[in-house]
Amino acid sequence: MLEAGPLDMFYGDSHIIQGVSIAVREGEGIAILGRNGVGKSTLLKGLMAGGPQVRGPIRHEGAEIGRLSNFERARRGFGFVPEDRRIYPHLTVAENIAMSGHAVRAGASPHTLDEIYGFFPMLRGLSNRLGFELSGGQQQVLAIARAVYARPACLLLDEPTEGIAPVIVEEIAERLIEMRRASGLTLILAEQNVWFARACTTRLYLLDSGRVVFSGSWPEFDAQPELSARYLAV
Amino acid sequence: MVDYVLSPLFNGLFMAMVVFLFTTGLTLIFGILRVLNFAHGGFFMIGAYVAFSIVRLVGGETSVLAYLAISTVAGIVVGLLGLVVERVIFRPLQKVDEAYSLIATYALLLITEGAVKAVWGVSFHSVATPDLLGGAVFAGDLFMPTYAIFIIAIGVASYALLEWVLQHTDTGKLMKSVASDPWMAGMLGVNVPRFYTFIVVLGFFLAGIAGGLLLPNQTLSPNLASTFVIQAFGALIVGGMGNIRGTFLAAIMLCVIDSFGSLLFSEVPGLFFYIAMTAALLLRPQGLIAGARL
Repeated sequence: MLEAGPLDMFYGDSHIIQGVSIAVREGEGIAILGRNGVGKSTLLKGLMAGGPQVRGPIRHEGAEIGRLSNFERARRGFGFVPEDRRIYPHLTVAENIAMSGHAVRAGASPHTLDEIYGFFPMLRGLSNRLGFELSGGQQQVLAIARAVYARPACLLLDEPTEGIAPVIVEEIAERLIEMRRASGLTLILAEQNVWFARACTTRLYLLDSGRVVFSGSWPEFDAQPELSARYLAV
Repeated sequence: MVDYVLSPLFNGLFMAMVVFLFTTGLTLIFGILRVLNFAHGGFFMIGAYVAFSIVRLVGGETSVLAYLAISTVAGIVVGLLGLVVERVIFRPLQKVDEAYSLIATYALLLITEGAVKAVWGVSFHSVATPDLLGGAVFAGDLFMPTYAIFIIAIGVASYALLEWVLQHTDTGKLMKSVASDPWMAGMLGVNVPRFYTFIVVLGFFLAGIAGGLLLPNQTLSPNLASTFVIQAFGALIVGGMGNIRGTFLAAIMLCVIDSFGSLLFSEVPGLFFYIAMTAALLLRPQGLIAGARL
């Protein structure tokens, strides 16, 4: 559903992403793995027209979308959860979720709040709580719920497990797996947490210094243990 | 009591509402787009001139209702100008440093002054207050011009309406959301550029309608553009840079203090506005309502 690259991305003069190509099929889950600072966030933001200068083709279902602005990409069915979550502090949980109603694709309708609370039961009791009153974990779940509300075809998650309690990480993984199975959701996940990435995806791209140093399935990745030691261990 | 308390209080409130009505559009645009529009006064002035032309065209005495309608038309005309200004000037400014917006909008101010001179000439004009607003009300010894009461009522009503829209409607919540994080709003599917256009048109509409409403109180000349600029920026800054509630409170505080100051030191009228502004910024540099957008 998405074919991109080779892509180069820049912040000012900094050449962050260098010749990266990625592709994801409909309903597939891919992980983008790498240490801090290798360009995972930049890559995701570039795919969403969210900051870096991007050079190179980005094709969605055959159409070039590289010139579309962020809201147009959102309205084509890309739901983005940034690493800093960006919950609106002055809006309630329910209002935060409904914000992505603007991204609903033509002819489609968003989920109901009740459905969303069915997926993410933790949020049900917090419905009228303001964004700034939530814990980090609650904000993360809310950020994902907000993106899911618009029924995106493809969800882009930027390090959803960072700084989150393990029990919530497990819950997020369960939800994502379930949604991929139930609704054929496509997933692009930038992560450092290998356990989480493995649970949610079938394939991975390993990034180092803005380049892809490995791409393949999880068993292929496991067959080369030196990859993990060299590119992920701290 | 009347001379030293109620009368200056009333005059201060009147001036505060004049300043507030002038500043709402400026606050809205700065709060959401972070563009400090130096030309705001120029478009306020165009609103006043448009209203003046309509009054002259219609001729004779205008009723209060007709006067409100004329002000609204002036607002619409200026709002349409805002549509052009947004496309030609504000949109490119989104991509560059904030300092450029000062230069660009200052140039725009000069253009509005030139345009007014070209269209309406340099001579001074004035418009009579509508009959019903021409009188005065006495409460004991307190003398209150009806027009001033009217402007105070309009100012408070405008504030209440804007506050209600911002706090309790979907549009208002969206305005606050886009103001606080336009990037995320775009990621959630909000057409932020179009929303900015809407805000600029609304801000210009408010400038134009204020021009019409305050016309009977003003002498029309190409200098009108800069008449309230200092007070407006004072209220905007002391209010906390871009929120309606702060601007409203700051306008009242600064103008009431100034009104009492001018009574006590009548040889330096207006001085206390600056003293109050300086004191407010020393005591509370972040503004009365800090951190809030709109």
